[in-house]
Amino acid sequence: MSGPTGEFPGPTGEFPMGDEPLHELVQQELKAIIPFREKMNEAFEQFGGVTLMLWRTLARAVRPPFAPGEVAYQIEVLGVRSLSIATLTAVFAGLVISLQFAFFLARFGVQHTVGKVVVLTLFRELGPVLTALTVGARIGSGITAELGSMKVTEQIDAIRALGADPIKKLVVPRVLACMVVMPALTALADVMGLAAGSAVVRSEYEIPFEQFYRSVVETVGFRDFTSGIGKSMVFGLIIALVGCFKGFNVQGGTEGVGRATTETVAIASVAICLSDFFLTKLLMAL
Amino acid sequence: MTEPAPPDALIRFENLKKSFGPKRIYDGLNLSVQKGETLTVIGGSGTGKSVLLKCLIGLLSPDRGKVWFEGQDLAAFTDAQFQPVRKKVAMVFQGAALFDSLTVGENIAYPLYEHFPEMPVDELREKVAQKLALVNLPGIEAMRPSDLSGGMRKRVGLARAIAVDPEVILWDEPTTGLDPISTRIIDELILSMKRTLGCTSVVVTHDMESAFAVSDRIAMLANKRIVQVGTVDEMRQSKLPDVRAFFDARAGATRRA
Ligand SMILES: Nc1ncnc2c1ncn2[C@@H]1O[C@H](COP(=O)(O)OP(=O)(O)O)[C@@H](O)[C@H]1O
Ligand SMILES: [Mg+2]
Repeated sequence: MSGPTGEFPGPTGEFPMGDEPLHELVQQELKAIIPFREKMNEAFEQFGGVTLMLWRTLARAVRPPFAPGEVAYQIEVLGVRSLSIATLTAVFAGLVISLQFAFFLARFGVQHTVGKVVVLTLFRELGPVLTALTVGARIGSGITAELGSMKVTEQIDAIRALGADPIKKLVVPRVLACMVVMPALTALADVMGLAAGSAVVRSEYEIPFEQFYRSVVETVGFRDFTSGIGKSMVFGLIIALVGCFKGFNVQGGTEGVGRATTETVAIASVAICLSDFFLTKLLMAL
Repeated sequence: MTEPAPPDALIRFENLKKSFGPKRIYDGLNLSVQKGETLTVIGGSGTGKSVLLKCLIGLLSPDRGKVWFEGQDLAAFTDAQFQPVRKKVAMVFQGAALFDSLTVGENIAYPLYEHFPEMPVDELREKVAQKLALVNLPGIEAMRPSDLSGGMRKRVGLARAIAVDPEVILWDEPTTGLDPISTRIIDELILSMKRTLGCTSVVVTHDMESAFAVSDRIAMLANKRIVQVGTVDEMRQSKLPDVRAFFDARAGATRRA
């Protein structure tokens, strides 16, 4: 404040460029940013890790020997045991969206068209996404828990030491199984949701089954169904890969398995929601 | 890469360096193992004893240095290159690492199937039975790993390791957590692998009793390297403070126990 340039600080003026105060300021700013940056780095590392695992899985999936028995076993473990959870979710989702849409359309006096909206919402969006989120949480965390305990008890090391390939033995069958199971469960969810929806609007809004299903058939195209199924296949891939990746990278014993399991649910759910947007855009562009 | 291993050593770690992130485990570790001997590596927890075995069987690779085995440097080997090595070098894991989803018999058949996929089922079955007999557990093929005691799991782990008739057996803390009788049985098995099969053994342990019972030589891992190697008697008389501290503490612990 002593010199004439004091009020117009320039590079050579009293503006503390390169001086201690600014330096400290920058340091403080950096400190505040670092946790975020570390989180970002971690996220990128994990993304890289999952991508690498995808690549390795693909490379091994196409090369013999194949293990159809193991894939079938995983379909049973992951899929058949998820039937009830998938059905329950779909039924209640079908009930609630049908009620909401009928309520909404009744304001315009066109509640008889509710079947159109319900089927499109279910087939294109809610069927695949809800199934992936609920069943995915169960399947993904199950995979992480199983592979994570194999990791901490050195069973994955043992597979390698005994001359086999853990990706081929453990990841490939789970990924393939998930890519079969998710579309199948989604198709089931579509049907169950629709059935539940038609039942609830019949009892609440007196829309007969014939009318509901006529508007369904008039509206829905094969593409609406397949785009949902296609999405669910990608969700299955994501769930299995994240589950396997987190399981293979468990650190810190049994406690680490618990932590990894929770992280799988979080990561898989977020990844499903993010990828859903881009997949939807992509499928609409096709 | 062209420098040959010394002819007398079957295994030789040469100037090994290894870090996990900022944590340095080895800083210039050297150790040789002669053919047919039983060498025990002792050292505190977390000093990198298991990592040493894992470098030899390709589960981890050193950052620098060489891992000589039969004139080849394994340090930069890929998994595919390790395949023939894993027929000759087998590992008995600390917790046995049996596959919970398979029976005992299937566990032992696992490496046979991986290395000799053409082997007929009869021969496979015969081999499994033979290995189980070798570890004094005949006829338990159909049992599940979860039904076995700790000592039995270790022995099944050994049977699985020797299924492919390896030349070298790596033992990761074979007696840790076992009762005295099981410990005696395992010690006896380590000795008999050498006697009857002529195997070379590298044993990692901090059980001094066991080390004295089975070793031809003992190597002490401390300060990120091997500080001394010698026969049991030589090590007992060691003047090195690291070795002394370890031996005295262990002797005290054994007395108290
Ligand atoms: N795969 C790994 N990733 C990161 N750190 C590891 C890994 N394996 C071992 N370590 C670390 O290296 C050190 C030595 O491990 P280890 O060889 O298992 O010790 P010990 O002598 O008890 O067998 C430990 O501190 C351990 O945390
Ligand atoms: Mg260890």
